[in-house]
Amino acid sequence: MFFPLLFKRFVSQHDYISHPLMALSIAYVMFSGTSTMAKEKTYGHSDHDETVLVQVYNAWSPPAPPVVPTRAGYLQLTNTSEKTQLLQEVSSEAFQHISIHRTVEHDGFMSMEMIDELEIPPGATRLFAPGGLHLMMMQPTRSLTEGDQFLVTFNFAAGPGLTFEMTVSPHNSSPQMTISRSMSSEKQHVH
Amino acid sequence: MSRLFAKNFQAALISSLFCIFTLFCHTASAKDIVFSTPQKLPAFVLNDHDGKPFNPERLLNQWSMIFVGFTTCPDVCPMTLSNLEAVRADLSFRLKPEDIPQIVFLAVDPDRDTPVLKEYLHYFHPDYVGITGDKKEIDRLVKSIGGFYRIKKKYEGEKNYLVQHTATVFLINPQGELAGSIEPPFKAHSTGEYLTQLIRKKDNS
Repeated sequence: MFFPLLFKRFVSQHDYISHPLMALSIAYVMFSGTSTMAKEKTYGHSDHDETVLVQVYNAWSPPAPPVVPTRAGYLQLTNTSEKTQLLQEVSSEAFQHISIHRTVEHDGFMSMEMIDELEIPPGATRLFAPGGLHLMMMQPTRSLTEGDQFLVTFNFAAGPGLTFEMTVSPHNSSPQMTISRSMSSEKQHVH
Repeated sequence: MSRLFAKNFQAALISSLFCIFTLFCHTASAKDIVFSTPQKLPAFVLNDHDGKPFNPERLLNQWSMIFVGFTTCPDVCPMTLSNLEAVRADLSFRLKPEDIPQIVFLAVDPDRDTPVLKEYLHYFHPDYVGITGDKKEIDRLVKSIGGFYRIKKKYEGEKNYLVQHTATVFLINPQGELAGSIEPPFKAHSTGEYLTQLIRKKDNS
Protein backbone atom coordinates (compact mmCIF):
# COMPACT_ATOMS: atom_id res chain seq x y z
CA MET A 1 0.00 0.00 0.00
CA PHE A 2 1.41 3.38 -0.86
CA PHE A 3 1.96 5.95 1.79
CA PRO A 4 3.47 9.34 1.20
CA LEU A 5 6.44 9.87 3.43
CA LEU A 6 7.34 13.35 4.33
CA PHE A 7 10.88 14.52 4.01
CA LYS A 8 11.93 17.86 5.25
CA ARG A 9 14.82 20.16 5.00
CA PHE A 10 16.57 20.40 8.29
CA VAL A 11 19.17 23.09 8.51
CA SER A 12 21.91 23.23 11.02
CA GLN A 13 22.62 26.82 11.94
CA HIS A 14 26.31 26.08 12.34
CA ASP A 15 27.38 24.64 9.05
CA TYR A 16 24.33 24.75 6.76
CA ILE A 17 24.71 21.08 5.97
CA SER A 18 21.36 19.54 5.41
CA HIS A 19 20.10 16.54 7.29
CA PRO A 20 17.21 15.18 5.28
CA LEU A 21 15.65 13.31 8.15
CA MET A 22 12.68 11.25 7.37
CA ALA A 23 9.61 12.55 9.07
CA LEU A 24 6.35 10.80 9.41
CA SER A 25 3.16 11.95 8.00
CA ILE A 26 -0.36 10.97 8.67
CA ALA A 27 -1.82 12.08 5.45
CA TYR A 28 -5.37 12.11 4.45
CA VAL A 29 -5.04 11.99 0.72
CA MET A 30 -7.67 12.97 -1.78
CA PHE A 31 -6.86 12.62 -5.42
CA SER A 32 -10.18 13.94 -6.64
CA GLY A 33 -8.95 16.49 -9.10
CA THR A 34 -7.48 19.46 -7.36
CA SER A 35 -8.32 18.93 -3.74
CA THR A 36 -5.47 17.66 -1.70
CA MET A 37 -5.57 17.78 2.02
CA ALA A 38 -2.87 16.65 4.28
CA LYS A 39 -2.35 16.54 7.98
CA GLU A 40 1.05 15.81 9.25
CA LYS A 41 2.88 15.00 12.40
CA THR A 42 6.58 15.45 12.63
CA TYR A 43 9.09 13.59 14.68
CA GLY A 44 12.73 14.54 14.72
CA HIS A 45 15.98 14.43 16.62
CA SER A 46 16.44 17.21 19.08
CA ASP A 47 20.24 17.27 18.94
CA HIS A 48 20.10 19.46 15.82
CA ASP A 49 18.81 22.94 15.60
CA GLU A 50 16.16 22.29 13.03
CA THR A 51 14.38 24.72 10.81
CA VAL A 52 11.81 23.37 8.46
CA LEU A 53 11.92 25.47 5.32
CA VAL A 54 9.94 23.63 2.71
CA GLN A 55 7.63 20.65 2.88
CA VAL A 56 6.48 18.24 0.23
CA TYR A 57 3.28 16.26 0.57
CA ASN A 58 1.64 13.57 -1.52
CA ALA A 59 4.29 13.18 -4.18
CA TRP A 60 2.90 10.86 -6.80
CA SER A 61 3.42 9.95 -10.42
CA PRO A 62 0.76 8.22 -12.48
CA PRO A 63 1.86 4.93 -14.02
CA ALA A 64 2.46 5.26 -17.74
CA PRO A 65 2.94 2.86 -20.63
CA PRO A 66 6.52 1.52 -20.44
CA VAL A 67 7.10 2.51 -24.07
CA VAL A 68 6.76 6.17 -23.26
CA PRO A 69 9.91 7.93 -21.97
CA THR A 70 8.03 10.67 -20.12
CA ARG A 71 6.21 10.78 -16.83
CA ALA A 72 4.48 13.47 -14.86
CA GLY A 73 5.13 14.16 -11.20
CA TYR A 74 2.57 15.73 -8.88
CA LEU A 75 2.86 16.96 -5.32
CA GLN A 76 2.13 19.74 -2.91
CA LEU A 77 4.99 22.05 -2.02
CA THR A 78 4.65 24.38 0.94
CA ASN A 79 7.07 27.07 2.00
CA THR A 80 7.04 27.05 5.80
CA SER A 81 9.89 29.52 6.12
CA GLU A 82 9.72 33.28 6.39
CA LYS A 83 11.61 33.86 3.16
CA THR A 84 10.61 33.40 -0.45
CA GLN A 85 12.02 30.15 -1.80
CA LEU A 86 13.08 29.79 -5.41
CA LEU A 87 12.93 26.27 -6.80
CA GLN A 88 15.52 26.15 -9.55
CA GLU A 89 16.52 22.58 -10.23
CA VAL A 90 14.89 19.17 -9.98
CA SER A 91 16.70 15.87 -10.29
CA SER A 92 16.06 12.20 -9.59
CA GLU A 93 17.93 8.94 -9.50
CA ALA A 94 15.17 7.48 -11.67
CA PHE A 95 15.17 10.02 -14.52
CA GLN A 96 17.86 11.58 -16.67
CA HIS A 97 16.14 14.90 -16.94
CA ILE A 98 13.40 16.70 -15.03
CA SER A 99 11.94 20.12 -15.67
CA ILE A 100 9.11 22.09 -14.15
CA HIS A 101 6.21 22.62 -16.53
CA ARG A 102 2.84 24.20 -16.47
CA THR A 103 0.02 23.13 -18.77
CA VAL A 104 -1.78 26.19 -20.02
CA GLU A 105 -4.90 26.51 -22.07
CA HIS A 106 -5.37 29.37 -24.50
CA ASP A 107 -8.61 29.32 -26.48
CA GLY A 108 -8.86 25.54 -26.35
CA PHE A 109 -5.21 24.91 -27.13
CA MET A 110 -3.13 23.08 -24.61
CA SER A 111 0.52 23.84 -24.42
CA MET A 112 3.25 23.49 -21.89
CA GLU A 113 5.34 26.28 -20.50
CA MET A 114 8.70 25.53 -19.06
CA ILE A 115 9.31 27.23 -15.73
CA ASP A 116 12.93 28.09 -15.07
CA GLU A 117 12.40 29.20 -11.52
CA LEU A 118 9.36 28.60 -9.35
CA GLU A 119 8.78 31.22 -6.70
CA ILE A 120 7.13 30.16 -3.46
CA PRO A 121 6.39 33.09 -1.15
CA PRO A 122 6.46 32.55 2.63
CA GLY A 123 3.53 30.42 3.73
CA ALA A 124 2.45 29.73 0.16
CA THR A 125 1.69 26.33 -1.31
CA ARG A 126 2.26 25.33 -4.92
CA LEU A 127 0.07 22.47 -6.03
CA PHE A 128 1.45 20.29 -8.80
CA ALA A 129 -1.66 18.60 -10.20
CA PRO A 130 -2.96 17.12 -13.48
CA GLY A 131 -3.71 19.80 -16.04
CA GLY A 132 -1.54 22.42 -14.34
CA LEU A 133 1.84 22.64 -12.73
CA HIS A 134 3.78 19.37 -13.01
CA LEU A 135 7.21 17.84 -13.11
CA MET A 136 8.03 16.67 -16.60
CA MET A 137 10.28 13.67 -15.99
CA MET A 138 12.13 12.29 -18.99
CA GLN A 139 14.22 9.24 -19.86
CA PRO A 140 13.66 6.89 -16.90
CA THR A 141 16.76 5.00 -15.83
CA ARG A 142 14.74 1.97 -14.74
CA SER A 143 11.29 0.52 -15.16
CA LEU A 144 8.71 2.08 -12.88
CA THR A 145 5.42 0.39 -12.18
CA GLU A 146 2.60 1.00 -9.77
CA GLY A 147 3.74 0.99 -6.19
CA ASP A 148 7.39 1.75 -7.03
CA GLN A 149 9.08 4.59 -5.25
CA PHE A 150 11.97 6.81 -6.26
CA LEU A 151 13.82 9.80 -4.87
CA VAL A 152 13.44 13.30 -6.22
CA THR A 153 15.60 16.25 -5.19
CA PHE A 154 14.61 19.90 -5.28
CA ASN A 155 17.39 22.48 -5.32
CA PHE A 156 16.62 26.01 -4.32
CA ALA A 157 18.37 29.31 -5.00
CA ALA A 158 19.58 29.41 -1.42
CA GLY A 159 20.07 26.78 1.24
CA PRO A 160 20.26 23.04 1.04
CA GLY A 161 18.31 20.73 -1.21
CA LEU A 162 15.22 18.77 -0.34
CA THR A 163 15.01 15.08 -1.17
CA PHE A 164 11.70 13.26 -1.03
CA GLU A 165 10.14 10.05 -2.16
CA MET A 166 7.66 9.89 -5.02
CA THR A 167 5.31 6.96 -5.48
CA VAL A 168 3.99 5.58 -8.75
CA SER A 169 0.27 5.63 -8.16
CA PRO A 170 -2.75 5.89 -10.48
CA HIS A 171 -4.87 8.97 -11.15
CA ASN A 172 -7.97 7.54 -9.63
CA SER A 173 -6.68 6.65 -6.21
CA SER A 174 -9.59 6.73 -3.88
CA PRO A 175 -9.47 8.90 -0.78
CA GLN A 176 -7.58 7.01 1.82
CA MET A 177 -6.07 7.38 5.23
CA THR A 178 -2.44 6.46 5.17
CA ILE A 179 -0.41 5.89 8.28
CA SER A 180 3.24 5.19 8.16
CA ARG A 181 4.18 1.66 9.09
CA SER A 182 7.29 2.61 11.01
CA MET A 183 5.48 4.97 13.34
CA SER A 184 5.92 2.99 16.51
CA SER A 185 9.68 2.66 16.12
CA GLU A 186 10.10 6.28 15.06
CA LYS A 187 8.12 7.47 18.04
CA GLN A 188 10.99 6.51 20.28
CA HIS A 189 12.99 9.39 18.84
CA VAL A 190 10.52 11.94 20.01
CA HIS A 191 11.62 13.92 22.98
CA MET B 1 -57.08 26.61 0.73
CA SER B 2 -55.06 29.50 -0.61
CA ARG B 3 -52.47 28.79 2.00
CA LEU B 4 -52.23 25.22 0.80
CA PHE B 5 -51.92 26.49 -2.74
CA ALA B 6 -49.16 28.87 -1.75
CA LYS B 7 -47.33 26.06 -0.01
CA ASN B 8 -47.66 23.81 -3.05
CA PHE B 9 -46.64 26.64 -5.31
CA GLN B 10 -43.61 27.29 -3.19
CA ALA B 11 -42.64 23.64 -3.29
CA ALA B 12 -43.12 23.55 -7.05
CA LEU B 13 -41.04 26.67 -7.46
CA ILE B 14 -38.23 25.28 -5.35
CA SER B 15 -38.24 21.98 -7.16
CA SER B 16 -38.30 23.63 -10.58
CA LEU B 17 -35.44 25.92 -9.57
CA PHE B 18 -33.58 22.85 -8.38
CA CYS B 19 -34.25 21.18 -11.74
CA ILE B 20 -32.89 24.19 -13.60
CA PHE B 21 -29.90 24.24 -11.31
CA THR B 22 -29.12 20.56 -11.82
CA LEU B 23 -29.66 20.96 -15.55
CA PHE B 24 -26.96 23.62 -15.59
CA CYS B 25 -24.67 21.44 -13.52
CA HIS B 26 -25.08 18.57 -15.91
CA THR B 27 -24.52 20.63 -18.99
CA ALA B 28 -20.91 20.36 -20.07
CA SER B 29 -18.65 23.33 -20.70
CA ALA B 30 -20.14 26.47 -22.23
CA LYS B 31 -17.75 26.16 -25.14
CA ASP B 32 -19.21 22.80 -26.20
CA ILE B 33 -20.62 22.92 -29.69
CA VAL B 34 -23.28 20.85 -31.38
CA PHE B 35 -23.72 21.56 -35.08
CA SER B 36 -27.27 21.75 -36.38
CA THR B 37 -25.89 20.62 -39.73
CA PRO B 38 -23.07 18.12 -39.23
CA GLN B 39 -20.01 18.71 -41.37
CA LYS B 40 -18.69 16.17 -43.85
CA LEU B 41 -15.07 15.12 -43.48
CA PRO B 42 -12.67 15.04 -46.43
CA ALA B 43 -11.07 11.82 -47.65
CA PHE B 44 -7.97 10.93 -45.64
CA VAL B 45 -5.79 7.86 -45.27
CA LEU B 46 -4.05 7.24 -42.00
CA ASN B 47 -2.93 4.04 -40.28
CA ASP B 48 -4.33 2.60 -37.09
CA HIS B 49 -2.10 1.29 -34.30
CA ASP B 50 -1.99 -2.14 -36.00
CA GLY B 51 -0.75 -0.55 -39.23
CA LYS B 52 -4.07 -1.11 -40.98
CA PRO B 53 -5.48 1.70 -43.15
CA PHE B 54 -7.76 4.08 -41.32
CA ASN B 55 -9.99 6.10 -43.66
CA PRO B 56 -13.38 7.85 -43.18
CA GLU B 57 -15.18 4.50 -43.53
CA ARG B 58 -13.78 3.46 -40.18
CA LEU B 59 -15.87 6.22 -38.64
CA LEU B 60 -19.17 4.95 -40.03
CA ASN B 61 -22.00 3.18 -38.15
CA GLN B 62 -20.83 4.21 -34.70
CA TRP B 63 -20.13 7.35 -32.70
CA SER B 64 -16.50 8.38 -32.35
CA MET B 65 -14.63 10.81 -30.14
CA ILE B 66 -11.39 12.06 -31.67
CA PHE B 67 -8.69 13.45 -29.42
CA VAL B 68 -5.59 15.11 -30.86
CA GLY B 69 -2.44 14.36 -28.90
CA PHE B 70 1.00 12.78 -28.80
CA THR B 71 2.37 9.82 -26.86
CA THR B 72 5.20 11.61 -25.05
CA CYS B 73 2.76 14.14 -23.59
CA PRO B 74 3.11 13.56 -19.83
CA ASP B 75 0.23 15.50 -18.37
CA VAL B 76 -2.78 16.33 -20.54
CA CYS B 77 -2.95 13.27 -22.82
CA PRO B 78 -2.88 10.55 -20.13
CA MET B 79 -5.30 12.59 -18.06
CA THR B 80 -7.69 13.03 -20.99
CA LEU B 81 -7.49 9.37 -22.02
CA SER B 82 -8.23 8.30 -18.45
CA ASN B 83 -11.09 10.79 -18.20
CA LEU B 84 -12.60 9.63 -21.49
CA GLU B 85 -12.53 6.07 -20.24
CA ALA B 86 -14.45 7.20 -17.17
CA VAL B 87 -16.92 8.97 -19.48
CA ARG B 88 -17.36 5.75 -21.46
CA ALA B 89 -17.95 3.84 -18.24
CA ASP B 90 -20.64 6.34 -17.34
CA LEU B 91 -22.19 6.02 -20.81
CA SER B 92 -22.36 2.25 -20.45
CA PHE B 93 -25.10 2.77 -17.84
CA ARG B 94 -27.05 5.09 -20.08
CA LEU B 95 -26.70 3.89 -23.66
CA LYS B 96 -26.89 0.73 -25.71
CA PRO B 97 -23.40 -0.78 -26.16
CA GLU B 98 -23.45 0.01 -29.90
CA ASP B 99 -24.10 3.70 -29.14
CA ILE B 100 -21.07 4.15 -26.91
CA PRO B 101 -18.50 6.16 -28.88
CA GLN B 102 -15.18 4.66 -29.87
CA ILE B 103 -12.18 6.66 -28.69
CA VAL B 104 -9.83 7.65 -31.50
CA PHE B 105 -6.46 9.08 -30.47
CA LEU B 106 -5.05 11.08 -33.36
CA ALA B 107 -1.31 11.01 -32.75
CA VAL B 108 0.23 14.05 -34.44
CA ASP B 109 3.89 13.30 -33.76
CA PRO B 110 4.34 10.25 -36.04
CA ASP B 111 8.15 10.08 -35.66
CA ARG B 112 7.83 9.28 -31.98
CA ASP B 113 4.25 7.99 -31.90
CA THR B 114 4.18 5.34 -34.63
CA PRO B 115 6.50 2.77 -32.98
CA VAL B 116 4.75 2.90 -29.61
CA LEU B 117 1.15 3.70 -30.47
CA LYS B 118 -0.29 0.23 -30.00
CA GLU B 119 1.28 -0.40 -26.61
CA TYR B 120 0.52 3.14 -25.50
CA LEU B 121 -3.20 2.95 -26.20
CA HIS B 122 -3.56 -0.61 -25.03
CA TYR B 123 -2.30 0.60 -21.69
CA PHE B 124 -5.30 2.91 -21.32
CA HIS B 125 -7.90 0.64 -22.87
CA PRO B 126 -7.64 -2.25 -25.35
CA ASP B 127 -10.57 -0.80 -27.33
CA TYR B 128 -8.92 2.54 -27.98
CA VAL B 129 -7.94 3.19 -31.57
CA GLY B 130 -4.73 5.09 -32.29
CA ILE B 131 -4.24 6.66 -35.68
CA THR B 132 -1.29 8.43 -37.26
CA GLY B 133 0.46 8.65 -40.61
CA ASP B 134 1.85 11.16 -43.10
CA LYS B 135 1.92 14.74 -41.94
CA LYS B 136 -0.20 15.84 -44.93
CA GLU B 137 -2.95 13.35 -44.07
CA ILE B 138 -2.81 14.22 -40.36
CA ASP B 139 -3.05 17.92 -41.22
CA ARG B 140 -6.01 17.34 -43.52
CA LEU B 141 -8.02 15.59 -40.80
CA VAL B 142 -6.96 17.98 -38.04
CA LYS B 143 -7.90 21.00 -40.13
CA SER B 144 -11.25 19.56 -41.19
CA ILE B 145 -12.38 18.94 -37.62
CA GLY B 146 -11.22 22.37 -36.48
CA GLY B 147 -8.27 21.08 -34.49
CA PHE B 148 -4.78 22.45 -34.11
CA TYR B 149 -1.29 21.27 -33.27
CA ARG B 150 2.25 22.50 -33.55
CA ILE B 151 5.46 20.55 -33.14
CA LYS B 152 7.77 22.85 -31.24
CA LYS B 153 11.21 21.72 -32.34
CA LYS B 154 13.85 24.28 -31.49
CA TYR B 155 16.29 22.72 -33.96
CA GLU B 156 16.35 19.80 -36.38
CA GLY B 157 17.17 16.60 -34.53
CA GLU B 158 15.98 17.80 -31.12
CA LYS B 159 14.73 14.83 -29.16
CA ASN B 160 12.84 16.24 -26.20
CA TYR B 161 10.64 18.66 -28.09
CA LEU B 162 7.08 19.43 -27.09
CA VAL B 163 3.85 19.49 -29.05
CA GLN B 164 1.13 22.07 -28.63
CA HIS B 165 -2.31 20.68 -29.36
CA THR B 166 -6.06 21.17 -29.15
CA ALA B 167 -7.64 20.18 -25.86
CA THR B 168 -11.01 19.68 -27.53
CA VAL B 169 -12.56 16.28 -28.18
CA PHE B 170 -14.36 16.06 -31.52
CA LEU B 171 -17.58 14.11 -31.96
CA ILE B 172 -18.16 12.18 -35.14
CA ASN B 173 -21.64 10.81 -35.78
CA PRO B 174 -22.40 7.36 -37.28
CA GLN B 175 -22.59 8.98 -40.74
CA GLY B 176 -18.91 9.88 -40.36
CA GLU B 177 -19.65 13.61 -40.01
CA LEU B 178 -18.36 16.09 -37.50
CA ALA B 179 -21.34 16.53 -35.18
CA GLY B 180 -19.81 18.75 -32.52
CA SER B 181 -17.05 19.13 -29.99
CA ILE B 182 -16.63 19.05 -26.24
CA GLU B 183 -14.19 20.89 -24.04
CA PRO B 184 -12.35 19.78 -20.90
CA PRO B 185 -12.73 18.97 -18.11
CA PHE B 186 -14.28 15.71 -19.14
CA LYS B 187 -16.02 14.76 -15.91
CA ALA B 188 -17.56 11.35 -16.16
CA HIS B 189 -21.04 12.23 -14.96
CA SER B 190 -21.63 15.61 -16.62
CA THR B 191 -19.96 14.76 -19.92
CA GLY B 192 -21.71 11.38 -19.93
CA GLU B 193 -25.07 13.02 -19.43
CA TYR B 194 -24.40 15.62 -22.09
CA LEU B 195 -23.32 13.00 -24.63
CA THR B 196 -26.28 10.78 -23.81
CA GLN B 197 -28.72 13.58 -24.63
CA LEU B 198 -26.89 14.33 -27.84
CA ILE B 199 -26.62 10.73 -29.00
CA ARG B 200 -30.22 9.84 -28.14
CA LYS B 201 -31.49 12.96 -29.89
CA LYS B 202 -29.51 12.21 -33.05
CA ASP B 203 -30.64 8.59 -33.00
CA ASN B 204 -34.27 9.66 -32.94
CA SER B 205 -33.97 12.34 -35.61
